[in-house]
Amino acid sequence: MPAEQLLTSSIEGALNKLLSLDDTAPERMAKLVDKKIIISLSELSFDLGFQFHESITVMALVRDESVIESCDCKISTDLSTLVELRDISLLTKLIKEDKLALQGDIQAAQQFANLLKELNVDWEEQLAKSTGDVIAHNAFRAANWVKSSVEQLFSTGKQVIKDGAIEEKRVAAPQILVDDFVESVFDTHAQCDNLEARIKKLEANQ
Amino acid sequence: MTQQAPDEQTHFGFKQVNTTEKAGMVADVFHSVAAKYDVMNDFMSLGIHRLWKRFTIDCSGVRAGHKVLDLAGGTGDLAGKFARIVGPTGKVVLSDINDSMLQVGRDKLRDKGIVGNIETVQANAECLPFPDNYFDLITIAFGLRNVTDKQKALQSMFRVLKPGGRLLVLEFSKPENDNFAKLYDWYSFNILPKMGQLVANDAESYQYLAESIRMHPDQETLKGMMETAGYEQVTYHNLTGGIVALHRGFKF
Repeated sequence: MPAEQLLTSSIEGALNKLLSLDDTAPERMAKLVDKKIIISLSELSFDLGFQFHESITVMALVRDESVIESCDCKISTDLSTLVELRDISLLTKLIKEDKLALQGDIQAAQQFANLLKELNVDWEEQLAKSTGDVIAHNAFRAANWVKSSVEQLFSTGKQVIKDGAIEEKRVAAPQILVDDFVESVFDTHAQCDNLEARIKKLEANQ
Repeated sequence: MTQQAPDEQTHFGFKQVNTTEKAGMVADVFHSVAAKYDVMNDFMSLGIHRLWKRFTIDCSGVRAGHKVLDLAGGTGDLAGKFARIVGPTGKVVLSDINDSMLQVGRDKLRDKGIVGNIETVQANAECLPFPDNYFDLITIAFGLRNVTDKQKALQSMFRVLKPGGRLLVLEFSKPENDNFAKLYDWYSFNILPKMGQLVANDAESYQYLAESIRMHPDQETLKGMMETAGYEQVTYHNLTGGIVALHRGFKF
């Protein structure tokens, strides 16, 4: 089975479905119509081509330097950096660190990032379409309760483990002692530097 | 254009028929299956035909402004994608010899909102009604094996292709592994006609499908035929163990 096409087909299906659930997406998509962006990920042996019209077409393209001629923007990076790109302000930093290479229209890349970043899907409303309002509302209320309970549980658990390790088992030092120790190390370091300087001075005088 | 002698024979599945009769017989098959064509394709291939077609699009090198001819385009799967890629400055011609298939394709594309840069033309691949050196890309997906004179069709496509343009032939072919080929044969001649009977109420057409696949030239033979027609840098890529192969050739 052509695995590359299975991947692009899944990405295309997921993107277009998500965009169709967001009423504000067409407005953001309009800026990208007839543009083509290529994403070259170091983890993949092929490039991903994104062609924008009223929906998005995703293609698996043979990795080729000449491909830049046929697209508006080419982004070369790896998967972890791509995730960081959600924050557009990091763009310059990532380029300077050689984690990201951009060729072509940088604005197209930013518009694509914004299209995905600003996705606003009302999942409760989507569920309500198939289950009805009451079930959807209760399901989301229950899910939110579970989420906050789990978060609370984690937070409490973390505090319990921290207190146990510091106060009861004494396997970790309290923050105030750590700070004091760090300060002492700095002082000792400074004193050593002074001593070294004095020794060097005495040696020079002899 | 050479005239076919009325007593000349060709194959229609495993049967030998008069060359003048084959086009009509193939037309009858597709008139019969047109309405259920997409459903049956998904059912028979478990949806994998969509990935084979995606692979064809990925290999097309097509871009905005290009002119594309989708021959034997049937229900417009490839043409619809190409129309979006070439954009308003490009043009896609969806062509099929069978008006029932073309009608289904045209309606489907219109329902999807794909209009403006797409035209439908009923044409025989052996004598294409287009000017010389006109298209940047020609595709023929699961259509060449139904053409009576394949060599003549490849030459006709060569004529209308621009220098620098490419032809992509997506077609059933010969599986690479012998055991897999036996399993595939069993599926084709035992399961496929039954599926056809169940879904489309037409076992005969799907029996023809299985037979026509076996009669179609294998990978190397088709490559040779393309080279004879004038195509250069002809290569092929086997998909799903060789059940299907994508042949690619350029005109320079």
